[in-house]
Amino acid sequence: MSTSPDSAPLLEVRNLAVSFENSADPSSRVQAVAGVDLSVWPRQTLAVVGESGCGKSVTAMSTMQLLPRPPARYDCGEILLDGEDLLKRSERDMLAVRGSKIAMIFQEPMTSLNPVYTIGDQIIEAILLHQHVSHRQAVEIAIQAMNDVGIPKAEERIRAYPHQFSGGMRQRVMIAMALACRPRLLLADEPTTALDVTIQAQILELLRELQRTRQMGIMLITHNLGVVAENADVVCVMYAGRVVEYANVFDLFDRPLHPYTRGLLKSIPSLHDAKHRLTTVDEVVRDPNEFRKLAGFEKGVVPWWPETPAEARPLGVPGQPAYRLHEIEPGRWVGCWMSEHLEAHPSRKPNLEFRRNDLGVVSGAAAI
Amino acid sequence: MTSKRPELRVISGIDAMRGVGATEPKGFWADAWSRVLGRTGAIIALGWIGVIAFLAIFAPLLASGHPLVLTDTATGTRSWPLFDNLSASDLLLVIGAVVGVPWVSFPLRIARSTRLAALLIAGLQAGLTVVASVGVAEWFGSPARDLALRQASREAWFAWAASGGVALLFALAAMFVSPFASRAARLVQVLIVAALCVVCLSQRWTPALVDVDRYSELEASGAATAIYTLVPWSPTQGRTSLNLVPPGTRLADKLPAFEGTVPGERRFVMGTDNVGRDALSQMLHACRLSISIGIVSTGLAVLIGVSVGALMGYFGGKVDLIFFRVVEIFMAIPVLFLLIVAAGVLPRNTYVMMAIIGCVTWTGAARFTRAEFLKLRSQDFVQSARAAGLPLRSILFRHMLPNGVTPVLVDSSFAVAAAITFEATLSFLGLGPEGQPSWGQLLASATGATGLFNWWLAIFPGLAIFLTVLSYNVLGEALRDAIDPKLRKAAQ
Repeated sequence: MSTSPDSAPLLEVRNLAVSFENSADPSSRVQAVAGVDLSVWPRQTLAVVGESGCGKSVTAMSTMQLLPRPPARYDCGEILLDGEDLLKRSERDMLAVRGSKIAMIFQEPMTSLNPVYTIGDQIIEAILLHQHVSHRQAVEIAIQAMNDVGIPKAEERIRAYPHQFSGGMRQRVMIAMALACRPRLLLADEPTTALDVTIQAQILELLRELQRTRQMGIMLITHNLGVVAENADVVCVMYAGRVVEYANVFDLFDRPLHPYTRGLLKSIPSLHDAKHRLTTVDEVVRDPNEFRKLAGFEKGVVPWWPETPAEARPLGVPGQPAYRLHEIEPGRWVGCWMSEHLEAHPSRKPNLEFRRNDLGVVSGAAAI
Repeated sequence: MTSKRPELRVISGIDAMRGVGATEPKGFWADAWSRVLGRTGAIIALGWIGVIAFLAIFAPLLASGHPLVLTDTATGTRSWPLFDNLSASDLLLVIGAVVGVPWVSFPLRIARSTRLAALLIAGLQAGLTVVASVGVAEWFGSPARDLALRQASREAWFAWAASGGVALLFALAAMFVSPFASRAARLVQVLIVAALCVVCLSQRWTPALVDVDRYSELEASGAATAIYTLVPWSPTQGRTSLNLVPPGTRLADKLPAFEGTVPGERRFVMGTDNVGRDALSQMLHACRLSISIGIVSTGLAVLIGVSVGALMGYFGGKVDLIFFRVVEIFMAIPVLFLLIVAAGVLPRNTYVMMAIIGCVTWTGAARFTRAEFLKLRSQDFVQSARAAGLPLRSILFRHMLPNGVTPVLVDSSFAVAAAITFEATLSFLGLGPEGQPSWGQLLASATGATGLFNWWLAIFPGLAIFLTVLSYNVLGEALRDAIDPKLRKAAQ
């Protein structure tokens, strides 16, 4: 169980940059993540949103240090779990963190379980690895974990093989496996993408329920804004390996500040207005007026965007990186082009303790 | 099967969700095994391999010049020469088979795979103990040592001490690989095996030198009556006067002195070889050599190949590049010629042969494992095993290997057949292990220097080699078909 109170963030990612070897051109490297800052508090769900290839999964995999090196390389930054830098840990030391302090669930429940072992074998192996219990106690913990995630007749199903489960049930098994060792932080990499909508809702409610009872922090990686609106406390919008906007979920959906976020929200189809065709993200981010909407534009606060024309960019500051995640107003961060104005106004790193207060409303409905 | 139409029961979706109509889940191996057993050819092949395996274990009991019971006609006292002359390894093999078969096949609370692994480890422990003890005994008994040492090594206390020491050493090693979870169970397992080994070895420390022909003469003179098991000849028992006797000949046909006596009526069912040893007895005893060469050398090859292949496939990159060059070097070695050279420079015994075959033919297993692991390492369940914090050993051998071992398994069935052929070839060329009956050696005496063709020495051993090699190949084919889902669909 977690012993530390809610007074400090559980996970802090500071200026993380990860690059990969480019097999097509060995002289260059692909910068998958280029300076990401974020933080997760206990009992908080941080949603990381962005399109494919924006660096969401690489950030999560870096936290677990699951990226094969080479081709991957950590260029700079630190990943602090309870104040301790995980990137400085050796592979051997990471084994003690993986599964016991940080757990991860993957997108594909159909292939994430080993087909040759029973469900029970796989859950029990993880328990025996991280907890000092006898085999019999491990079986009990496994059955309890399966009950917790709403798998009926856990005592019998523990002897079943993965192919005998449906997709939703397998994802429950994955969650049971991830949570059996009571991790402090759960990395959920698109946990519901492969599931249908009803199961999706069940799984997400289950995660929130377990989060509430176990003081766990969740990093929810998704590209489904509906999932974000319903489940996240804090949202981190990423593009091209950088954070473009960081805010609590209500602020972000009420009043998106970065043109890219606006584009994302505008591109969601609505039942109420009949449209000939949907608005695309491109249409929004190609409109120079969208960039002028940010408060302080005249003073040189311009949202960062890779395709901003040179004349629209503010003058950079020599010796400083062109991009900076700036706290525009309290609790709201937007990725901006570096300018003299920003240089003069230092900014905090993104860090929001916000948790939505409707947690109590989500009751034991998860065990359906 | 009755001709009555089976009654169809409708199971609704909700029933199915509640588990109505569900069958007990079958593991991958159980499923593959039942598919293998669905093929007639595979059953026949398994049956033949079973017969050979049975003979490999029980041949010393079935074919021996020592009678089972020898009764002195004057005093009426009985003795049991057959049991008295069984070697330590014969005894241990028989005990192992008698205990091991029920241990694996009866339903117990321990999982069958654990029991099978325990038996395998016990066999390995006993085998290594016996081999090492025999080595120790031979070292101390060799003429190169001085007389006092040699004599001391024949004492009973020395036998107990030496075999006990060796047994303890291997018991300690077996503790680490025992499949049981609790320390007490491991200790009990290794100690039982070690104690059995010590008892058998110390009883048979110095081989009894008995003239086997003595029994026939005792019987012929009426001094004793003897009851033999299936074949009344030892594989090493031969008289030059009985050389190249065709099948079915009676002893009295060749040695008129035995005319009218009980031993005179005994026949050489498959004839004799060029020094007058019974062919059938040799055929039966040769099963052990064939089976053990095939299994041990392939086991060694699979062990090396899977370890190297797993590392190559999982890590890729430079590890793969370097190890694959090693694989290519080994692939370029012609095994048969290496074995012929080794027969010239190294001691000519089975262990050397097993080691050479095993250490050269692992490349197939390595290549198959590498290919499977390259495919598996990017699979989600391997990622999730890593995310669960499992150590590399567990990921490689517990999670990836069972998913990628099937091609190796199929390949190893063919490899056993190849190893048997190697042994037969070498023995045929007169370069096989010394002092042991072998099919190839029998085959070699089919044509002598005189140019005679002794058909019985060509047909019987030839058939045995042919059927055994064929059986392993058929089994390998059946296994491949059972495991490969594409082939499985095509067959249906």
